Amino acid sequence: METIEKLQKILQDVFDDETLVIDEHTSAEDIAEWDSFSHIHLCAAVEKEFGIRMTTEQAIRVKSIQDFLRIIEENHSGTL
Amino acid sequence: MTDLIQIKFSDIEQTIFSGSFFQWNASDILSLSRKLMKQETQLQKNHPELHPLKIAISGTCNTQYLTRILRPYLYAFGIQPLFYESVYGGLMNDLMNLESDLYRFQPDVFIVLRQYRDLEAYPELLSPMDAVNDLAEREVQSQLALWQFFHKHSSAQVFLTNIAVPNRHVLGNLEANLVSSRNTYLRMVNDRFLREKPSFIHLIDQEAMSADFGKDRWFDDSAWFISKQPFCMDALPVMALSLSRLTAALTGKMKKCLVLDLDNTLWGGVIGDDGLEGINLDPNHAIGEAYLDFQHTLKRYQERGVLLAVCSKNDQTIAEQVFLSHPYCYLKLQDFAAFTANWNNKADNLRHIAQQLNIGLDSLVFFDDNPAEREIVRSMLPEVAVLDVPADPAQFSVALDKAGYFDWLQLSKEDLSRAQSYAADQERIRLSESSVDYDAYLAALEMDARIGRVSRSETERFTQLINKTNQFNLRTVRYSEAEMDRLLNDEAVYPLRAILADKFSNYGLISACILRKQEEKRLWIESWVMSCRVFKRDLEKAMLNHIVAVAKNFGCAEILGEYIPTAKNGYVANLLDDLGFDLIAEENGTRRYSLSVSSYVPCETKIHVTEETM
Repeated sequence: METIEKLQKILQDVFDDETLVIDEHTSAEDIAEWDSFSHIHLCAAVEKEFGIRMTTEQAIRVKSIQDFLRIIEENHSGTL
Repeated sequence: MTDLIQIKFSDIEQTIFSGSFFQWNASDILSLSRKLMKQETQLQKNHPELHPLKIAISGTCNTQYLTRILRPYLYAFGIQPLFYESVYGGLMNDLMNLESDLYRFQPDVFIVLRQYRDLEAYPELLSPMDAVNDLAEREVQSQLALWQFFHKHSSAQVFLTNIAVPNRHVLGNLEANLVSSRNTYLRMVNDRFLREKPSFIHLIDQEAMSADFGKDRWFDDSAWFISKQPFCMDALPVMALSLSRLTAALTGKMKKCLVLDLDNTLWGGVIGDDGLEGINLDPNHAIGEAYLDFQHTLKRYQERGVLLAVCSKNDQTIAEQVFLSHPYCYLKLQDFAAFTANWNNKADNLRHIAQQLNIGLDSLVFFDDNPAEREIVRSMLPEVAVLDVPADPAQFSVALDKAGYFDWLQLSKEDLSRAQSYAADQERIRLSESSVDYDAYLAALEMDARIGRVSRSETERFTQLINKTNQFNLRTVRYSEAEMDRLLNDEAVYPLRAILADKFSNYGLISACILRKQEEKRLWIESWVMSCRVFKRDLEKAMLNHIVAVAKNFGCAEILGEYIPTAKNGYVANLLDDLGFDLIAEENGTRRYSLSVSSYVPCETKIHVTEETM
């Protein structure tokens, strides 16, 4: 599965909306339920799925799918 | 990742009540909980057996994630929660302000997370022991004062975490060598709080939880800085499991008996095939030592009041050989309250064991190395808890501890003597077989009872008995310790208890009855419970004699009783009829009874009763 597909499944799950469709430009502003509570849930789910650990800076700044893609990319290139 | 998004309602229901999500990671459980919240009304409708409880949660940290995670766990334990969540940092206001939402909510349970960051003052380095002690004492006293204030205004039971000593060691190894170090001090505060805590506070052992989990993972400073979570996300399920299990214990849902297989569970090898020489319990062999160590662990469970039982596919006499003749076998036949070795299926045998011990199937925990047997029991007897036994016997003891099935809220003297008293049951059964009739048997038991008002030192046991008894329980009313306190100080209330002994064992306090004087010269039996250990001894008759005496003392002319049926109290459905009460009303199965004091003829029993002052 492509990274973006995996992210879509995670978001569907976290926001409990199986019709949710995302692309890399999707951001917190596009999803009404993306509040501070679900933000932490989302970060935890992404960390689990991709086996990464976000820094504090990354976790507070990440606001869009693009951000997540970049963080996943950086983490994996760093560890591989 | 669990594929949650496709899950249907029936699957959510199944997932929650089977507890299969316990092994999931925190973010998946958060998602499950979210789905659950959407379906909660339907779920509650499908499960009228759920026990509703009002649960308040607070702390000096963010408790939102814990609350969210707790929800499915509580349902899994048969509890339907109504939550009150304090705002972040709102603990002090909630506690001190009688107008606060907390007091308005009137919680049954108040869960409070504490953490090392709560402490403002630490000893100065190189302070002498006395100074450190004084500071710890002041810290604990100021906390206790808050809780005493709370207790005065709320009947809630409090689940308060102790403090997890952090993975911070500014002093390095000196943390462990100086009484004035922060980590030493935190341990002292924990110890002192334990020594001085009142009984309505139940400490949740966060210190042990975090150590077992691994402190470097438990503490997640980033999560604290970002969202004020006191520990990492993945620690939430650990905390939630413990909290929900203890909450369930509060409602009387407790495991009492551990049912064990024999071959390759209590020893290495198969006695029927390998013979006595083939049984490995050799302390000089790694595998033998592992089984032997497990036997020692089991003995400790037995000593703390957990009943041990055997359920094995074996010939009884062959199986008993190991206990009688193997040089290294540590457990003895007398350690088991029930011993079933035959070729029937294990589900039937478990039913038989529950019946023999007079406890519910839902009080049993099944421990068997054979996955096929576990699966059969799981599917045929869903009430029985089935432990996931690891393949390696070296892990048996820890697996049993970690499963936490015997996480009780209290331990009483009666719990500790229970095992011996079950052993005495075996002798009693032999006596009953040799007696010509039941009356002769009762007489031969040489029973002695003390019947009278409960004393101060007995109130903990009194409360425990009322709150956990299901079978002999006329109205199944439960009381918090605070409610019980008020009751015991109420002049219109006579809290009656009975203590019984026979020539085989001393049962201790095994029956409790709450009598309340009402208007128009009536005495109301608000609650009456009796331990199943002493059924069919005519103790209820001896107690009724005392109840009538209490009525006379209060100047009452009539005694009123009531039977409210539950799934478990069919045993006492006709108790009041049998005791000579008149049925005066019946509605939806609830029956009200009356007994006239003036025409009462005292019951004869075979019990020698020591009358106590009123």
